[in-house]
Amino acid sequence: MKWRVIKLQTNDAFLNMAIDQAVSESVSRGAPPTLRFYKWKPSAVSIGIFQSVHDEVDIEKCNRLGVDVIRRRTGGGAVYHDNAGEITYSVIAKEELMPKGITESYHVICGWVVQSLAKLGIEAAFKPINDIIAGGKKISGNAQTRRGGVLLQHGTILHDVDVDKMFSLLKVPDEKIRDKMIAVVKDRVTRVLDFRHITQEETYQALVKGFTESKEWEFGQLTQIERQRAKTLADTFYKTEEWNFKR
Amino acid sequence: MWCRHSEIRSVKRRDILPIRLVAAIGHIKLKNITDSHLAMHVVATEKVSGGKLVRIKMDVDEVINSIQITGDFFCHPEHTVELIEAALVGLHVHDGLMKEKIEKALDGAQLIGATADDFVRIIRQAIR
Repeated sequence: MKWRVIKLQTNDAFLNMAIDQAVSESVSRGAPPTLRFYKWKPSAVSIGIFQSVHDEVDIEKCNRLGVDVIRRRTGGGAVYHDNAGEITYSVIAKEELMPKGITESYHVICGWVVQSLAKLGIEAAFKPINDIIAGGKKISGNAQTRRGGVLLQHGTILHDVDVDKMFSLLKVPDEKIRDKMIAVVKDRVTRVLDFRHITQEETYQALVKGFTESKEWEFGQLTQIERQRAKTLADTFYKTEEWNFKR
Repeated sequence: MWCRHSEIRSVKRRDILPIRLVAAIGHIKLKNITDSHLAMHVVATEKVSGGKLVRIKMDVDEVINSIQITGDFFCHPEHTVELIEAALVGLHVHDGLMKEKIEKALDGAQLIGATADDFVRIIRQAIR
């Protein structure tokens, strides 16, 4: 089955996560496997499904800076999605198209990210459980869920990252060592720009190439049903306190 | 009324995910909110070796009255974590069957970045 590739879009956090779910539902009903690339506007913090929002996020500061906060339906940790500094991908496909084992399927999909980075001359590798590292530092975080026979994996590729801003939005266990921790994190995170001085458009083009290699594919759009369903899910589920403050 | 508060900072700082690095500092914090039955609200956090962060929040007296398992681990399917929490309510913290209860709730679900043994250990750390 031909893959549908949805070109880079920019949406708010609630619509981005709702589109992932709406497409998962349509793939479950027989829509083609889908790759999507997207950005977040406004910038947002997403937390893993099992994380406590109050433990992880400075809600007041996010509100003050106009940063959205959303709970994902995938596990993993809190991520700051800077509007200018990163590109997110989603892979949505029937489970039968992917290895049955969770780690094996991370390996395959993260391999597509690695392939993409290789096209930019960046040597990267999958690091279980769900990271991709380049030059010994993290350049991409990834998270997966499986429901209704469909695998959804989304992940972020750091193009530029403002660690100071990120830490101002995320809680740290001890304020006294905040500065030290930021210094340590800065040393452990890397970005495409640290390797190659290229535009985000070039990174995006490399991602499209890396993800579609050896696949039958074509550019496509979200269907009207998917768009409507996503809007409903955003308004009635992903924007609700009941969901976002569940833990 | 009494309270005690301790922190342990011995967890290895080897993770690279920023939020997990925050967690990797690792702390176990006990906060005792007493009532006439010596009920406690306890919290224990651990960055599992080679795995993810797990934080247990419980209201306990003789038994676990309520429990929440949070963290950056993975569980497929995800709703299983709520089943595990439900299975733990009513158990004594040192109940010998705790691990079996968790495994029964898992019922083939996959925990990634933590194990049933990790949950049991962190629950017991919370009341130490």
